[in-house]
Amino acid sequence: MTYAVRLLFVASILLFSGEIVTRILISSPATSMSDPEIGWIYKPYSKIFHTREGWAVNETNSMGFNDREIVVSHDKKEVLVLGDSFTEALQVKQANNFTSLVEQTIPCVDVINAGRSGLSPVQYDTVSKRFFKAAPISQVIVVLNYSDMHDILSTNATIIRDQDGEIIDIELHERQITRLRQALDTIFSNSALASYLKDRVRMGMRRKTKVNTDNVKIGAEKDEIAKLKEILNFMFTRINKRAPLGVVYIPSLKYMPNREIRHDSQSALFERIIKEITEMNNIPYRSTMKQMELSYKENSRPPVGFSNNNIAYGHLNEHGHESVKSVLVQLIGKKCSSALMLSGISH
Amino acid sequence: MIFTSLDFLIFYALLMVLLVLFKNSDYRQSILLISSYIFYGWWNPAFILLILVSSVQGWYFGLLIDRSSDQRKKSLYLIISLAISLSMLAYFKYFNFIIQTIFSMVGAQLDDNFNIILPVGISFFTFQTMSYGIDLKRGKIKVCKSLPQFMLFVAFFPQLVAGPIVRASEFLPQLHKKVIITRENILFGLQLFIGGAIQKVLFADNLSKFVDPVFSTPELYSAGTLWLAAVAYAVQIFCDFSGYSLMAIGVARTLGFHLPKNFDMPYVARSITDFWRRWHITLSFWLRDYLYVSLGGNRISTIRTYVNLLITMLLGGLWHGSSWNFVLWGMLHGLALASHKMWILLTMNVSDRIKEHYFYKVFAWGLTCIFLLLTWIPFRCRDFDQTISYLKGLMGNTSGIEWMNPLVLTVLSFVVLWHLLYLLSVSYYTKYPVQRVETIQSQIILGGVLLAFAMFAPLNTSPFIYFQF
Repeated sequence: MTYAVRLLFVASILLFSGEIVTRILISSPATSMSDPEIGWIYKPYSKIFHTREGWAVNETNSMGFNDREIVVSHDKKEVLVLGDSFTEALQVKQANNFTSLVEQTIPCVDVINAGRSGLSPVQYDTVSKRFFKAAPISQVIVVLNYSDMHDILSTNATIIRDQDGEIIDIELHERQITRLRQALDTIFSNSALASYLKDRVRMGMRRKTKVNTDNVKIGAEKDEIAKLKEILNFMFTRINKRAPLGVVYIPSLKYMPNREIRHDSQSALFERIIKEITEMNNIPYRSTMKQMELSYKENSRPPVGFSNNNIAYGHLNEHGHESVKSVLVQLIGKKCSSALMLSGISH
Repeated sequence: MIFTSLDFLIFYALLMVLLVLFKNSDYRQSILLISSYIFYGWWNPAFILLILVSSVQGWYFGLLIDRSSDQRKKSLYLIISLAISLSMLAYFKYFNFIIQTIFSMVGAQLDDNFNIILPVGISFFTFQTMSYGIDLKRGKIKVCKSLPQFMLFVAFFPQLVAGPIVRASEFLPQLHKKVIITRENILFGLQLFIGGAIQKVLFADNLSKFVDPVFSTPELYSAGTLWLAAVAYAVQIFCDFSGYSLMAIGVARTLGFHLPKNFDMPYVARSITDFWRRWHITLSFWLRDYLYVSLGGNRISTIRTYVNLLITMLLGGLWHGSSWNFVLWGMLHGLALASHKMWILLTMNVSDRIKEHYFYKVFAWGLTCIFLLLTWIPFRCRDFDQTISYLKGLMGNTSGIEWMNPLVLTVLSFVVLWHLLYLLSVSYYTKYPVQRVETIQSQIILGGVLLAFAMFAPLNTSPFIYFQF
């Protein structure tokens, strides 16, 4: 066997074994594709194997979101939930995420999950448009969390103002996919190993270049708070015009002994800002703090975090989804008319 | 520059190119000296001066010790050299600690800006310089007349920042031979380097993702989680330091130098004395030869032997860092060593059949492990308060968070398997000798290791734990 053939043989064995190990234990082949409006989207009907936090396999719908297929029924109220990875909830089974839990609690409601990881609240209005075309949405709920504060301030967008300085539009700049990336996508979409390694490189690069947002204190400069308020106000009013809006906030927690939790100071600041803007616009607002506190007291597990990553930090786990569900149910309203109830049960 | 960084890989590749280009041994030694200073200066160029002062004074007083025929003068030169080394160590390593202790005793508040930066590796290279002077005075080694060679002995980059602590008697004779780069040394050195990298990156760094959050807030976690974190830390510190030592030995071997072994499976030790023969061997032997023996060792009386052990370990603890937790850790180890010596005396008449019985061995091993596990807690904790909080939690915090991290359990299983293989005499060294590196099996293993690094190495590499010492 010549040296080159042997090298090829060894490489093939290793890559094949690596592919099998990755598919069984770590990840599925790349499931994302380019989207001109919001950067990227999951492929329709693709299976997403998530092991970074928790362990779950979920399937996307025809719109590329982690949700069941949207089936419009005149007997059901369509509620659209906009959010980022907390709403997308790849870490738990689809049936256990808060949008599904609400559907199980209120049978006459169809909750459409429009969460996608990496989305900034600035993009929510753009995302909502495609859902308004797909279903008669009667209520929109925006789910925010602590990291959104940084996302809003760092979104790659141009704020367009009128002569009085008021925001009239926010223009998003998503990077166009290059030919090289398109060519590589063919490899990544077929190989779990290649797509997993690509993700690791991307995350590694991001860690090297990104400022650790945990240490960045927002509010040190007055401009930041003013900008935050301005953008939130613009986004909330815009979405509120399409359908009645509700806002939910998932705080960042600080753990204390004896299963006590507190608000992280930066998280408390963000909550105050959201509260102020929602009150100003008469938008219903709820924080999940109390529910999370109660959940932590009842279970020995914090509402966020997973054993295979960090038990107390990260995305919502099953307990956390239960907490958010309770708050969403309050916002949507639990009552169904008898006609709706019957149709919901038969559905 | 740390061994697992891209900076180091580029630095090493360039160094090898230069060594291949310049075949003359003197040139090669000069290249190694300059590259060692670049390696050290990469972290903070200002501290090159420190290592330069340490080297020059060690070399100069060495010459004076050698030239003088008067024993009292020899002692005086040695004392001056030791005083310079120890004052550098005291200033950079212990001044903060002393001032903070005095301030807290009088209840005063120290200015937040007051902080002397600890130069990396200072404890290691000052110990090397000190041992040279002492050995010279004792007549154990010959004087090194060449300043560049002595500077290379002190600053040789593979062992410069975290050991192994190399003695002049081991290193200087190697400089008298030609620096030869051989294929066999490169292959063997790379095998050792990869073995060390597996311990550091795949084991230690993955464990740190669990150990760090638990140790930072122990009051939040349940007793089970705290026990698991204590075990994980014991394995982490071993893999981290042993991994670094193995990488250092490997890099040195590729350059044609032999460095002493620093670890020998310490967690299979059946007594604390046995543990110190296997853990950080170059430090424990240094403390034995230059401190314990200088204090009188076991030559004076039984009681004095115990006191000497206690003093040696107290100072050994303090060598690790300027904190009362390290003093406590050293004291506990000193007491344990003294107790073990006492136990040996008490059981002198017990039959060997009992001592060699399986149950006796397992009991001794278990007891040693529990002692080590508990003493690692003050070693890892920030201060006394955190140590007490951790120990309280270990005794039964039922309301805390239960966290059985599957990744940690997997890594620990691998480490147990590795130790079992060692006990069955299928060690790394005998299993993969250099000769087999070109076989298809070896290439698959090497490829598999590289793939494992790509897939399972944490994205942010933690610095080596022993860099802080």
